[in-house]
Amino acid sequence: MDCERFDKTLHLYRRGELSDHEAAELAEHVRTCRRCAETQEKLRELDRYVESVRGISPMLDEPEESTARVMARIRAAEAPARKSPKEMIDRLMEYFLKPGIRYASAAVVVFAVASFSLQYFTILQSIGTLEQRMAATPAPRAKPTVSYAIETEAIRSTTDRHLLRTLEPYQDQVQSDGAVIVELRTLRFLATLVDARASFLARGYMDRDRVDALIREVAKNTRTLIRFANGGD
Amino acid sequence: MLRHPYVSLILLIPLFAVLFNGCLEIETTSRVNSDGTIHRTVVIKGDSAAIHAGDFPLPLDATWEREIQKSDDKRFILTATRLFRDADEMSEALKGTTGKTLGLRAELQRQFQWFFTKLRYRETWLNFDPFQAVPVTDYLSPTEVDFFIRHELSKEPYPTEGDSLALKDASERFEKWHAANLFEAYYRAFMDGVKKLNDPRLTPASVAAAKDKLCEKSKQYLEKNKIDTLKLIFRGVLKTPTVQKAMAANPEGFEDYMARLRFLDGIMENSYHSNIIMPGLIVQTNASALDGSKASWEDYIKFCLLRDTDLVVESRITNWWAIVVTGIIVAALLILLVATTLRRRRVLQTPAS
Repeated sequence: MDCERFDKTLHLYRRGELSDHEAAELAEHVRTCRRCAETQEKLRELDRYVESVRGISPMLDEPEESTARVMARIRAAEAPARKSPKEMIDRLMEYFLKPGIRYASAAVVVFAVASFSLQYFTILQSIGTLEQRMAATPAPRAKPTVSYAIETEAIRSTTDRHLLRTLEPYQDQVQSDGAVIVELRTLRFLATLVDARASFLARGYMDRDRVDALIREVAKNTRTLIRFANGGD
Repeated sequence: MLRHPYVSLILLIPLFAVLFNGCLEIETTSRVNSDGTIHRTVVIKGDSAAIHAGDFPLPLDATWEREIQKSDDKRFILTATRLFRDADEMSEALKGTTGKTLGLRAELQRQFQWFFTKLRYRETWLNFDPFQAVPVTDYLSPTEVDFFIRHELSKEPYPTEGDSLALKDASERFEKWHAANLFEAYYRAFMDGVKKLNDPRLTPASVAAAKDKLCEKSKQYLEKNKIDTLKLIFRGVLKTPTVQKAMAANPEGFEDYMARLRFLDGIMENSYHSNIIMPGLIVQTNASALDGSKASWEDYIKFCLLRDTDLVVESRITNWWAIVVTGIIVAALLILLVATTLRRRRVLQTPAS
């Protein structure tokens, strides 16, 4: 009877849950009862064993990865020679269960989208700046032109082939009403003809009298043109 | 807003160039291909003699394919084309001959940026001024030159009225520099003649002493290109008939001077228009006009008197294959990430049997 009572208190004694009086009674009984002494020794051995495995954690560090690894090994062991597409997708998805792979994949996606956006917006910005500049650039001004009803025949009548050749493009600007569109540059060109005498002579392809006659002719028209260009009558 | 700062340069055009070569309208087009080859087209419009003489201010040798047509306005149009393997080959072919033709250098940079490829093409028209005796920096600072060329090349409006006025002032100084350059070359040729003549009535020292006066009196005639008048001015200032002998003593010097002047005036007489056609989208350029993938410049040749002038275009080619590949990869990764997340959630929510 005493042994039955002390059998329960032996377990409580281990955990330090007995009062001093109960502990003294138990110690006295164990000293005299061989069976209870053996039970107490077994309990102490059990405590020592439990203490020795207490440092081992039952939790896995990377449970998902471990699961994936174990599952992969199981599948590998069970796998037939040729894998079906579903199995391949399963394997790929198991691969993507690994946190490292998931983070790397996310980084790749973010990097690709970000770099495309950056390049694309840089280009848009450059085009915007360029368009802004082009819009600010004044449209090409119409060439300053002056219309005159001049005696174009005077120029046409110059028989010198060199001079005609030079004036040819300008003669073509005669309009249907007989007026001539003369650019300011043309006016300048005609004006310079006045000073052409030396060059005509220097090249020696015309005699002095012929040159003078030509220059007089052209100069006459040039002066007329310049007078008009300057707002004269 | 002031434009065409060097418009008075037109006044420097000598007539003999006009009369013997005619005024040419020159349009060049460089089509840059995405493989790096450059197809260059030169269209020259002029009168029959000028076109058939083949004496053009641009290097066009026998390797170019040529075609001559008559235009509606009774002028002739020469179209010359050539395909260059790369920019280096083009630079070599178009480097020009000093004192005879204009020269240019081409540079094409490609930078692969995965989604896009950046192409930067630079066509540098080389300084052709045959009179380099006086440095331009004596009259215009490099900053001024940069500022004005940048604005004038791209026809970009000046930020302030003050800048416009500064441009006018710079234009005047440019003309002074040009006249000083012409005078210096003429003076040196004359001085060489004086040394060769070795006449005690006209010594190098006496000519050097009269240099400022000669320059002052010559200026207005140089600006109008009245070179013949210079002889009279030299004779008048130096007050000796030996001047004529000194000039005659250095015929090659004066012939060289006139040849350089003829070249300069021959170049300035023509009108120039350049186009660059790029593959892809043009995102940057210093052109004055843009039409799709074609950038255009006009009236740029005058800047080559000051320094090398760059026509620059930058474009981006879209690498569709790279975008598709990246899209597929990103989509696959996203699908896998979402699918595995959903599957894991489903497994966790399933009660253990």
